[in-house]
Amino acid sequence: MTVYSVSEFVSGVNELLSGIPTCVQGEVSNFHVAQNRFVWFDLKDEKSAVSCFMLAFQLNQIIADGMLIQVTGNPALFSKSGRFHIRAHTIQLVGAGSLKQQYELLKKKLANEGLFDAARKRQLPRFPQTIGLVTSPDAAAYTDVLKILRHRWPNLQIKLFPVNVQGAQAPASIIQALQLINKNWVNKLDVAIITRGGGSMEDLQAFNDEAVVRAIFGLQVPCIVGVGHERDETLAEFVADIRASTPSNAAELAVPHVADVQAQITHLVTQQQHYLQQKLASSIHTVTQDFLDQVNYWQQTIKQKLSAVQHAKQLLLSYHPKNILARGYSITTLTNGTVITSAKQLKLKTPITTTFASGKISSTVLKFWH
Amino acid sequence: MPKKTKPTINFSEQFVELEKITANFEAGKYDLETGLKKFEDGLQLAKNLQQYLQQVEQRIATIKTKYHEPTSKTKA
Repeated sequence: MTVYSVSEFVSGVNELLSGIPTCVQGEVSNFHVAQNRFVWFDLKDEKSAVSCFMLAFQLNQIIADGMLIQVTGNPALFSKSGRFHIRAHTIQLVGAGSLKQQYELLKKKLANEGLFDAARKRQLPRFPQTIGLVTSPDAAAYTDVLKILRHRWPNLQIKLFPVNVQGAQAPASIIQALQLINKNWVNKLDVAIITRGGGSMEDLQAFNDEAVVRAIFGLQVPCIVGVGHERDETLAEFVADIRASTPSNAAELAVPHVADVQAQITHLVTQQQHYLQQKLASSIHTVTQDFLDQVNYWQQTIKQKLSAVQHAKQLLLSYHPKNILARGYSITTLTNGTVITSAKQLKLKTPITTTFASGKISSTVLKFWH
Repeated sequence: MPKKTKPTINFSEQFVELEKITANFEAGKYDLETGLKKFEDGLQLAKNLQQYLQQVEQRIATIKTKYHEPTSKTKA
């Protein structure tokens, strides 16, 4: 019998084992990562357990204790300890429970990183002209979204970025489309809609893929994500600027309804007309009132002046020289009307006129008394 | 410009003149002859002033009527 050294034995066994590709399904336990580079965990079922080892960069899933997974790799021994383990290359989650668990872990991780922060959400333009639609052209959601967009906002330009929304190729295909948008379409698109219809959690898995979520986070165009039915939630929706409940809802959120906008315009015009009318009426009223105030003031002034003139006239009348005649005095004048105040103004036989309060007489001078 | 009899008198001057005549009567400054003359002058002044004021009053009333006319037309 051949006698081997320990290292010869271990390396020989390793050589034999490396030729046996293996896929083992079991529950994860004792999961830990050392030095950020080495991933260790045990895979177990009710009766047995086996160690697994892989390099951190190969781990494309978030896994945790309790998850049911399939490990693809090959059996191997560690050269130092000779310990048996599975050298894992790929890991796939099995069952809804594991997916759910992974989903929660990733959600927490990305939330902690700030990917879902409300502060980084961009506002969508109110009246977009061009929309990028990232979805599968074969999906029912595509037809629905297209129909709703065209119906609501007829002049909209729609650019389709066809992607796989399901299956192993989906994440890479979506990421590629988003990269294409960032490269060539940033200035041409007002909004991007990333969408797919309903399905099981496995079907929607591409929209919970960490790389896809990060690609949406890095998208330079404001985006709406609507995946699945109303009850479904995906991480892609949380990272979007606007989260839509369904593909149809995404279309509704992306563009206004033309009738609503028309109604709004009519309302605004009516409001402005009303405002202007009010303003005009109030201005007319002010001008009218100012004018009438002025005219009334003039009328008042004229009345006062008339009354003043009337008063002065009355006063003047009270001084009428003929008022004295009523008391028995009389006025004697020459025939030319000159008032005689002294007998020296007269000669004998001069004709004179005497005016009484009532009536006049003519006479001549007969005698002087000096 | 429509031809209109424009009141052209200097109201203030004439009114002051009227008051002056009355005040002079009050103070007994006029003899009989001057008094008769001034009395007639005073009456003429009072007449002028009254006519002037009545004309102005008429004009203001016309303005007021004219002002109301276009407003009622635009409303109808």
